[in-house]
Amino acid sequence: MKYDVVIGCEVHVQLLTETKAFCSCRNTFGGEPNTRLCPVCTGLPGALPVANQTLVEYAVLAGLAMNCTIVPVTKFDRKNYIYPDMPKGYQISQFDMPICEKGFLEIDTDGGLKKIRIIRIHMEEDAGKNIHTEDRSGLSHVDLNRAGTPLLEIVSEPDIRSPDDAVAYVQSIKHIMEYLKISDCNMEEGSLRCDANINLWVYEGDKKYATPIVEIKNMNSFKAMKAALEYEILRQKEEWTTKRLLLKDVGKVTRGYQEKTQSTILQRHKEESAEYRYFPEPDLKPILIDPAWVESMKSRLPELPAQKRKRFAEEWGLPELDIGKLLVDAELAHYFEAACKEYKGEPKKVANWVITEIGNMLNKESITIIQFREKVPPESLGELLNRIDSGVISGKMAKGIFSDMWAEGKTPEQIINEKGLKQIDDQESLKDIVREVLDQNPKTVEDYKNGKENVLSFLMGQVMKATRGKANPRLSQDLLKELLQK
Amino acid sequence: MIDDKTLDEILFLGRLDVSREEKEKFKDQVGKILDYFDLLKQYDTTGVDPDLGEGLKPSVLREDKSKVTFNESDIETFAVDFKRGFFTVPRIVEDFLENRDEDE
Ligand SMILES: [Zn+2]
Repeated sequence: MKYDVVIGCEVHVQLLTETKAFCSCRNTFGGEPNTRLCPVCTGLPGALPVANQTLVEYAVLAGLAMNCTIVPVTKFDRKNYIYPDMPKGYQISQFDMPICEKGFLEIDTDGGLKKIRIIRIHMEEDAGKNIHTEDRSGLSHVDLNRAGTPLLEIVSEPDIRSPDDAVAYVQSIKHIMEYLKISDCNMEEGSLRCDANINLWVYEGDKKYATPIVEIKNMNSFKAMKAALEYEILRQKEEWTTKRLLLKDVGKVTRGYQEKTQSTILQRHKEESAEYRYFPEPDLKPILIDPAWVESMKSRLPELPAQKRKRFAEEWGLPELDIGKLLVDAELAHYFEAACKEYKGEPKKVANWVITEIGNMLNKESITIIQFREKVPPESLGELLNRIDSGVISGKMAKGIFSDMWAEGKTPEQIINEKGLKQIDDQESLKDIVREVLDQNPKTVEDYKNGKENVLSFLMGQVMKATRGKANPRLSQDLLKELLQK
Repeated sequence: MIDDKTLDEILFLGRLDVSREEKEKFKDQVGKILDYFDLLKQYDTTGVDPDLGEGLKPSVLREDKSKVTFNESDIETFAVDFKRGFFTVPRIVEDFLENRDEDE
């Protein structure tokens, strides 16, 4: 069976504004239920919404970062539906005049950089939360704290061709949001949510058939997203083979991902936009966006992942793979650059330490790079690496010192001095130790003299053991060879 | 005038159930409303932006500063049923729970 996978994504991100989209209630996650409410977000009669200027700013920043056109006039619309989490009976959203249009993102895939076009980015408000009770009361509980939280919805063209690329695309949005500091994009807390539309283009002879589009909901992690899309490809292949259903006959259906079974199940038929009865929000005037203001917003854009990628290759001469790993987190990339300022050697060495040693530490301790740098500032890492290069400590000792730097919050110098960890690189004292090791291993010395040169590493190990790892490795090796010649 | 199919669609969108008798009445009334729009359509509106009314001032945006909002006793004054911090409503059954058995 010859086919292409066709995926488009709708990504919702909650914005880190101080207040909600259309009222002055605080916008934060969690807390006691129903403690951040007012007449506007509870939908009391007569209450009027006023749009948050930071919402508009963030939408423009996101649009610019994703190479979109920012429109000169934008407006809000009502999307009508009846559900207790939306007490007004409608969601304020944008229908036909979204604030940003026609952008694109370049994602980093196994097959190189791929361009994913973005149809639109629009502003809307989030709904509250329904808590379904299992008891016999026959009641559901509603918490409206989240109602009115500002969201951006980012809609891609169906340009994505594999589950891995879909994950890379959403991760790329997450990175941009984090670089812009406009959303924390926490999938578990729901501040980044993704629905995916997926179908297959099946090729038979010179004919192309499109299978029905499935919108997958309820993917709460990148892992879930990959599993859901992979399951859906298999299911659609199977369905094509047995039922030969076509997009033009069936249209679009909604399926929900289930973590337990790692599969998708059919949900209600997808509401068409007519059923939402969109109409312009009469309580909010259209927003005129001054092109000069948009220009000035460009100066507020930080260096974005794509630009950073280019610069890291040019300025630091790092390989693609390392750059990808550093750019996952803007703070990690920043830490790397700060450590490079202190370190006098090759940036590649700093990259290795940041990716491997710090990466492991963050995993092991379940901390962020920001928490890590409070105890181990980047200058300390640079200093530690300088000390390896100048021969004060060995690479192996450095790893131990590094752990202590985190555990005790001290500088490399403090730890080296306190623990007497200075590398032994004084020729005379090292010579005594090497001599002692040779005296204790006469048979090995004999082997060496009979041409078994590989015993050298055993002898090196003995020297390290005798000095508890503090012997300068290069000097020890030279001394060993020198004394063995005698 | 409108046909039965269009009227049925409108009633569905409005979540309205009406008797056959009422349907005839509405068909007539909705038809008149639509006819009136046809009349409006005859006016030449070229060059008039539908979203911009006359004398539109730049949209006013709100500064992103939080204000103290409702406390629990405020909510109790208007909520039909507010218990232990939650609004309570008749149980909602999620679609996917409802449709669990329909699949395959
Ligand atoms: Zn509010």
